[in-house]
Amino acid sequence: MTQISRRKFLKGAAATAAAATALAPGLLHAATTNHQVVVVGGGFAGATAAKYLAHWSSDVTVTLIEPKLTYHSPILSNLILNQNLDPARLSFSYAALASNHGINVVNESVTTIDTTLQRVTTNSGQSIAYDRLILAPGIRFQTIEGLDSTLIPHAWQGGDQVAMLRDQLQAMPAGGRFVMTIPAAPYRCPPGPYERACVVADWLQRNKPGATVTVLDANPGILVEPEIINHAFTSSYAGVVEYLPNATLTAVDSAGKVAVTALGDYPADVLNVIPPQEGGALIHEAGVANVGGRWAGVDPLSYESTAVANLHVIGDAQGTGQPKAGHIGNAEAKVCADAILRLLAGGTPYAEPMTNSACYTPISATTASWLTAVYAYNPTSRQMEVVPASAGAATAATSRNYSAMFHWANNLFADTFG
Amino acid sequence: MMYRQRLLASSLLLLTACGGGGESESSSGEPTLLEDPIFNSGSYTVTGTVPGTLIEGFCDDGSYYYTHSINNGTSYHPFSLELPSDQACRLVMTTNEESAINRVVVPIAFQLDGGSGIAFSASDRIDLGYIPLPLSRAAMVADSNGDGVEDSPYTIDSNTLDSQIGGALRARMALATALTDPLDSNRNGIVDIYDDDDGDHQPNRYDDDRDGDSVVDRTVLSDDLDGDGISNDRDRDDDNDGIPDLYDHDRDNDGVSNDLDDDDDNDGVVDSLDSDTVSSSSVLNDGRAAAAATAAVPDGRLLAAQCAQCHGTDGISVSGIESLAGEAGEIREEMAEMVQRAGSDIMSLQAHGYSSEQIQFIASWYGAIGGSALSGTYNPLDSDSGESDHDDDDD
Repeated sequence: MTQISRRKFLKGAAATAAAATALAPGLLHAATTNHQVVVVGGGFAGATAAKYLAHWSSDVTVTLIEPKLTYHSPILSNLILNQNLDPARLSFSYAALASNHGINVVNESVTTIDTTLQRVTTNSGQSIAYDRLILAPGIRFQTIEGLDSTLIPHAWQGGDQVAMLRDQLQAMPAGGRFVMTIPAAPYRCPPGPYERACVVADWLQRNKPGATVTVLDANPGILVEPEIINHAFTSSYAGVVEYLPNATLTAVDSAGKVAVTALGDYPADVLNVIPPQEGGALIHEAGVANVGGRWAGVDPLSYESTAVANLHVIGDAQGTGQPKAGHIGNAEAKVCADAILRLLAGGTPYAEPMTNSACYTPISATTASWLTAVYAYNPTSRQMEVVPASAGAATAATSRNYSAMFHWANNLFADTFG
Repeated sequence: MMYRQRLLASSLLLLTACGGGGESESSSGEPTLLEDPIFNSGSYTVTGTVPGTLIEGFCDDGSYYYTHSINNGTSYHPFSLELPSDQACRLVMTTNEESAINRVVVPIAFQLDGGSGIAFSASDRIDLGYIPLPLSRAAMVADSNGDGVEDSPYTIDSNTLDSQIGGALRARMALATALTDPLDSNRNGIVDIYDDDDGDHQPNRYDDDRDGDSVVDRTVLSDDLDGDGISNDRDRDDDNDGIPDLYDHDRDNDGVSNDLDDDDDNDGVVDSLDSDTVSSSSVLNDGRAAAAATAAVPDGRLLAAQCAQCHGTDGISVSGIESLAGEAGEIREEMAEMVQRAGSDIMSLQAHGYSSEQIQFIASWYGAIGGSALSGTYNPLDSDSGESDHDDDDD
């Protein structure tokens, strides 16, 4: 903690900025005495953190480092599979964050993080110092023997992968077999795989007569919205969807399109493997993946790592046990941004943060259900915990929900990228 | 109260050791200004929650640190106090500090691996959890001499705390092992400054006549801007604003930046002739830090931001969901109504997640924004027409 405290104490000191400049010619913003907050990763969590830091304070210089020029939202991306949505409508640039909020958007990738000197280096060799660093790297996939995701799409990140799965489904013969695998929890977007099975089944029913959907779930049962999903599987899509719990994937024949599971081998015409997941590479490289070796342990008051000071992890990579999804990643980002501003001003994080999860789940091309919960900080357990009375789900998939889904998504996208 | 203050006041402590009689020179003489005058060998943070409280740290080298807990509108006020890693320190917590007759002072002790004591050091952040301090004299455990100081320290058991909240005390803390305690000479578990030497029911800390000789101990110093009994030339924080002079852009708090002030410490001696003036070149003209440290953040800011995913940034919706900006009354009424009935839509369920106090914070925040700020210009998806009333479930 020695260096950290000194840094904090010397915040804004011209001497610090001058010294940093001498050390690193490539340093951004050496002339300013503002606090430097660097956000790495421009998904829902990272973009929201960058936006709200700048929105709430003029005393910080915010740098967002994200290699992709365009973010492709996984939220609503199953509606690309059934061609209800043009992919361009789920694509967001970082231009609004730069122009509306003065955020320095650096379209590069981070190559090293020095948590002692508190600086990150990018692929161009640029060295950027930070007072506080936020990592929002999302997920990375664990290795499955034989899996080649260039042949067998996961479609669990937006963009090319979703387009590949859409194209494969379009090319599938009538009467063909679509097989998809669901990893053991926790994984990104708990309702997402079930939503996908429903949306694809609905589309196949109308476009590929006789086609089937086989859902190989590593979990012991449908994890979320079980009534609605089960109703859809056994009623709306009876004869189309076959659901198999405890079907843990062990290997994939990528060329032959076969899923090898604990329950046997499942050949497919189109195979969609959603691999098991862990926090993105950056948390492993920074040495903060201390929750089961998969996720980053953080203090839910600030999302500061429990392993490394002045380094925060938000979104899917953090290990608080809150669901991994864009809406709540946005919520975590605000808690983190608020805490960082208070800490940089010499205060303490807000003591009773709340977050919430809400999402709409398309069940067909015209209907959706929803799921929501509010999480409160429990000072005794020091965990975010569901407020029981706030947790619930829709009782039926409806067209009204389908309309409301776009209202929700519009504000969520604008609150994050606008 | 979103700030933390720290100051050095070594002579304040030495006063007690000398039993009064005015100012004493610090045994270490004039402190040397170092690059980091507060924490020469690193520091750590003590956190926890308390009722409204002054939290003080007294350390072996005579350095003194304090902070106030932050009133967050609940009875669990968080605090965070930074202490030097290379010193044994002692914590004292005081409620009702402003009132001489209601003030309650609680020394803090620790039970750690079979030992106990008030002097400790730590290697990294420790969390003391919630400390149930008495809020009135009547609620005190024992105060036999009636000075408002608990006779015995409140003892925090590291085993219990670590198992309950993972406070990391056993991993990070060590108790001082010396047989004598320079700050608690009679080893009664109360730092000397909070003993009541003359038995007048006023602890020394607040007693201007500690030895009871009817002579006020503190001479009024002509060169003591903040009246803390430490003359400016030995006071690290002349104006007691919590910003050490070295970093204070306005050392005398007269509203004139040092750079423009001919007499930085307001002692009537112009700076060019004043031996007690840090040269202006070494004073960091950092008004931003001072402003930031004292700027209060409304409780509603963060809570209200959690509505924005659906209702738009700052409550200005870009889609069919209603805006919240300027709608304080409506937020209060509708959420109160939602809490009364079972949740059958997203918003009703969400309403059940918040206390009435939190709803007040949220409503106040959006009420203060007004409806004028931004208009919805960022509309990535063409939304379907029609207001969403949150009654999204057709059942």
